[in-house]
Amino acid sequence: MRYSVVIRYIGMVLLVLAAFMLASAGISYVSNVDSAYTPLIMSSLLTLLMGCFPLIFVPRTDRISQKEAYCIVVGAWVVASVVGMFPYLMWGGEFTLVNAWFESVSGFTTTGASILNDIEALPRGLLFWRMATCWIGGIGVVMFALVILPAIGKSKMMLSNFELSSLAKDNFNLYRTPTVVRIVLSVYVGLTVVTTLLLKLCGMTWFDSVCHAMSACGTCGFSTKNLSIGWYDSLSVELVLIFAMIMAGLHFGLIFATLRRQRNNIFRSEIARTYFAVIGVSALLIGISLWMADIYPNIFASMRSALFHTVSLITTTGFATADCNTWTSFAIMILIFCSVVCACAGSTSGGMKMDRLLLALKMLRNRLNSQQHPNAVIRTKVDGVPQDKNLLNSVMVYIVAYMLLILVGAFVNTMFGCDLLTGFSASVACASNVGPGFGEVGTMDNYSSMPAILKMNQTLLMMFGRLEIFGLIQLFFIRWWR
Amino acid sequence: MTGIRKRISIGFLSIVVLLFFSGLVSLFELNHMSVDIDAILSSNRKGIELTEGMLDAIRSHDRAVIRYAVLHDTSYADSCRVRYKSFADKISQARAETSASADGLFDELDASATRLDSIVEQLFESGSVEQGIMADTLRAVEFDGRQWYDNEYLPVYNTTSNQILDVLTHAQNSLSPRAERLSRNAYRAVTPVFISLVVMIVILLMFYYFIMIYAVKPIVEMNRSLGDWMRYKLPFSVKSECRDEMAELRDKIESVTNNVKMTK
Repeated sequence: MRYSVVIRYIGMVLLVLAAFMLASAGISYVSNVDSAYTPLIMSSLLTLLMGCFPLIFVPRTDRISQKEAYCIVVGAWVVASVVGMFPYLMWGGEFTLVNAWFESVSGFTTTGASILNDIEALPRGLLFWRMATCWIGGIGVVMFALVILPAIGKSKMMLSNFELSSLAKDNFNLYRTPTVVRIVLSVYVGLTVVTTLLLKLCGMTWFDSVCHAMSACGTCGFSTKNLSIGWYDSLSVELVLIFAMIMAGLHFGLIFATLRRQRNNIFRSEIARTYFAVIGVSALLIGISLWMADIYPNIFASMRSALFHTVSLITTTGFATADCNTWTSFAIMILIFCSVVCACAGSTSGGMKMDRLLLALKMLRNRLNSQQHPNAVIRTKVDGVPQDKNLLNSVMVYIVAYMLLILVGAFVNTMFGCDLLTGFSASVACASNVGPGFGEVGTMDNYSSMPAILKMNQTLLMMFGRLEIFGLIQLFFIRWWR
Repeated sequence: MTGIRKRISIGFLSIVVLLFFSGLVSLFELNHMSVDIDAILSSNRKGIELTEGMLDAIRSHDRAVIRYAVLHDTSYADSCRVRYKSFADKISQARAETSASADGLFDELDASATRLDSIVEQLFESGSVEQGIMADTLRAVEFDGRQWYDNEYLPVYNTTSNQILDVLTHAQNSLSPRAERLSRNAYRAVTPVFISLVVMIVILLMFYYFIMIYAVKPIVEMNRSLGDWMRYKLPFSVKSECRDEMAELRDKIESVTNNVKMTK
């Protein structure tokens, strides 16, 4: 493996980060040169230097091996998280080394979990950088570099293969790799712009609109307010964010196809229909449960809150308008289910993905059928297309690995003193990149009270979740990869 | 991509820039800290000086009162007034140079000082020291300066002195948040330098790795291959990733070996 090539490509990703740091410094500058200006400028210079250095030495190469592409993708996530800490560390405040690492990983993996007790104390430049990390992370740090940096050539295909989830490629079969990359970015940027404008129309300031649009489209859940979306107490803001989160949780290829009025659109996709059905049923059940428990004054308020939090958690965003800890156990169980299943592959959301749930349910049904009719040849189909056996196997292996990851995470959390609800829900929330859990890490709380070792555990879970488990595990066995 | 000489120069230049950058940041932050420390030290010194001035003035006033009331030295009457005025001036000066948060304490101090002055003024007006008697409710009694000092003057004097010390304590306490801020600033001062150093180490490691890969390794390979050609007449073959001076050297050696082969 050519490590120099890996370093060169990671360097290109660093250039993108440096550009975003500079943009954040610009925000800081127009906000009367707030206290984040110097840290952001310094971080940007250091990142730029680190990014440029390999470009000077390593010659451009068009062909990269699978192993190299894999190392570039995983390495880029890890290095981006490390570099993302720089502005936080230089600014100080609540950011110790562990806290800065937590916030940076949480941003890039679009988890949206925070250690900050007073978000509103952060200067605007740093708030924007927080949002930038989740916006870059939403689409994937390498994917971003693939589109922005022109000199990558044929390597695009190999890199995008590793960056995109295996399930996500299904809806892009018609297109060549550069087109796929462009489609993903166009939909992403378009959705962010539309959400920004809608939020501005709802009465938010430009800064808050941009920040919340970036956060919603990256399905991150970072907010500029301590009370998250609850601070605005506005139905229109909630409706716009529900729309943005639902769209960000859909396969971007499907959105593109729907906009182009192609056949394989949102309304025909079995996965999208399942996604909408799960959201609808979950919100309805939670709403009824909240109304019957007299938590909200009327059925409308119950449904409003239920829908917002269901969408927020199933899309792994993590915005909040209320403290879900006060909700009924039934409602909490449904929300945990939503946090585990999550949205569609090919979106910015994390978690197990609706595609896998649908395939697993179909395989379960086929298994029952094959027991009844032992000689029948029964194929698992999605949208009428028979699915490859290897894909089905990998889906089942992934589901098992994902459940094991959550259990191991919860085990470690409880070992270091977390109560069962906090430990388990934190593990689910971090492994699925949702952000808020329940108990001490509820929607209106944060992870600041956790000891440093548990914060590190959560960041590991976030990384595993974002890189779909095997991505990070393979790194430890890279020497044996032929 | 540029030639090997340029690349190495740029590599060194990057390290120099980073060194300069981290040095500059250190200087900037240390200068910032130094200014903060100076501010804390000077306000600390100023607080002590002002308190010392007030204490000296009240003690001086006290000595004049003792001379006048206890030792019946009537020539100190004017001195008492002058020294009290000096004390009052010191209080005003201290109030002006202290933060508004101490205004409450200064109000109390002013009240005590006024009370102290009024006690002494009453003594002046009664003329007891000059006549040696003081008017009682029923009869005139001999004036006892020591008793007057212990019962009337000393309690107010002690209260005033304690209030001056309270002002000093307040001034010292008000420094602690600034000192705390300084310790935070120290963290902020060290972090950019620390991060710059980490980045520099990373760049140095990369530089070392790239030099090994793109400069040292080709030379070693060419040396080995040339040795093999000279000893065993094996064909000279060295792979090169870059089109730089190393590749040119390799091509030249290759053509020399080919020429030698053809002449034979």
